[in-house]
Amino acid sequence: MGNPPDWKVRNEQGMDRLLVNTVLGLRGMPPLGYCSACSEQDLRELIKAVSGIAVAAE
Amino acid sequence: MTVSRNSLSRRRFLGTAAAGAAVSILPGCGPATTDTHPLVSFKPGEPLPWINWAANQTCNPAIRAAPASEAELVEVLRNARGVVRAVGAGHSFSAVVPTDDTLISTDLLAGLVGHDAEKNQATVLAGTRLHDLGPLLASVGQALPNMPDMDYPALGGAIASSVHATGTGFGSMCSYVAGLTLVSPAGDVLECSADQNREVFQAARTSVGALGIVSRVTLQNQPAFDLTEVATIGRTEDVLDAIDELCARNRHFEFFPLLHSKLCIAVATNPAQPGDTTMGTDDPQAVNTLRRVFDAVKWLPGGSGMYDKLVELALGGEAATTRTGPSYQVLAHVRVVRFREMEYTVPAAAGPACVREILRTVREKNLPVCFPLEYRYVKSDDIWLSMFEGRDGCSISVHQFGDVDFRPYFAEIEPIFWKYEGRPHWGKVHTLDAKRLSALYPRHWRDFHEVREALDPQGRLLNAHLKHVFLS
Repeated sequence: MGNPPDWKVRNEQGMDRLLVNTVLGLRGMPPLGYCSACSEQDLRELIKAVSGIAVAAE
Repeated sequence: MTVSRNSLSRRRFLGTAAAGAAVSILPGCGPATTDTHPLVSFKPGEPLPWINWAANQTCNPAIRAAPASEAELVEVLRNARGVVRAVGAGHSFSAVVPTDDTLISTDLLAGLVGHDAEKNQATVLAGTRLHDLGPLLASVGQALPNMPDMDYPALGGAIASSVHATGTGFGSMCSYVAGLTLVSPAGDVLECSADQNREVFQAARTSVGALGIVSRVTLQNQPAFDLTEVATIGRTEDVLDAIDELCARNRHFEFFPLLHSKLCIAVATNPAQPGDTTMGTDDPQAVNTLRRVFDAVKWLPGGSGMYDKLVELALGGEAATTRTGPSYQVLAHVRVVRFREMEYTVPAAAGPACVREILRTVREKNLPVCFPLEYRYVKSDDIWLSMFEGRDGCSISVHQFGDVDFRPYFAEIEPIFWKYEGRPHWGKVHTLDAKRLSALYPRHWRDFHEVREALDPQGRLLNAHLKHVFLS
């Protein structure tokens, strides 16, 4: 969680791409992060927490 | 039969099989992925679509609500517009959730409300995910007697669709419900149990979400306990020949017949004994490895037979995979490979004949499928629309990878289930309509609908799928 080196390649795609993958799901990752109550902003905050992506990358 | 003889851990088996097949040098063998093809697109800033875990159901609700208390749930239901549906984890494969009007998430209705140590009962909010439920109950010294083999669903969804595990002495999740609170579409709050609103109680356990939204559930638990699971490779015919003994000897028994093969993975789970230790690992990617082997040879003349031989050759070791620990950790498994599933429950005595016919059909028609079947037993209950109502059941599941059209395969198998008087799982793929379903529930179909019509006279909870299975 929040370890940028582990996420370097993914984070280079940018926050919007990570958000789309989170919403639609990817491989074993379920759509919407299994969160049916989450808003787009909730998901952006969760992505930041997990990926460590810099806020400036948004 | 002995499932321990000629046994081998699944990880080692699959790794050996992949190497033995020289997967990397055979043409036509690409890396297996389970990326699904999204049914919808999404761009940042647009309204969020809803998509289920298997990515075969989606919708674009105009209103999304996430009440954080029963009082908020009452208000949301009273003011909801159009077709109203509830969603928990979204793990159902059938279209029980989609609505383009009002979608109510139960995510924030989660947590332990209280417990009764003497009765071994605990009251839990219905949005609680099963993977949180185990630790919550453990914190008060309790555990569910049985749990499904994956713990992603929300409790409310599990109750609505009669989610189950395996064990001839154990009913579905609904059978552990001692009481529940139902908020009707009109916003009325009903306490339901065997002593209070009994008819609603009989209908609300396995209601497919057609009566209202369950906000809390009182579970009949037992003192916390440990289990040990042993998974071994066996021969499907040996397992079927000894199925009664295996079920009697083990607290829980299930097995996964491998398609185009004589072999299966047998899983026996029993109370943990002193000295039990975890050996090997549960490999959630194992089915992908199996798929790579199958894909490597299926294009060859006689590829199915070659696959059988490769699998057979690989199974020469001794070790089994053993997992031991708290019950809720042992009963649940990681599922990261996405798939679509159809499951029917046939009368328990018909299970062996039914699964044999499925295996024979796959082999004789040379169907290009390799995802293992799953074969489980569940004790009968008296819940009106439960798949186990009035009869002990054998639940047989067929699966297809998430990036492959499941319909041709399921269409070949579904009539076999009908032949054995199978009842489809409410949360999984099937094609039955109300007319055919009503014939499978002759005792209480009408009773259920009298309760449903009283609680939801305008049919506000009926989306297209529920109309198909309840009204068509």
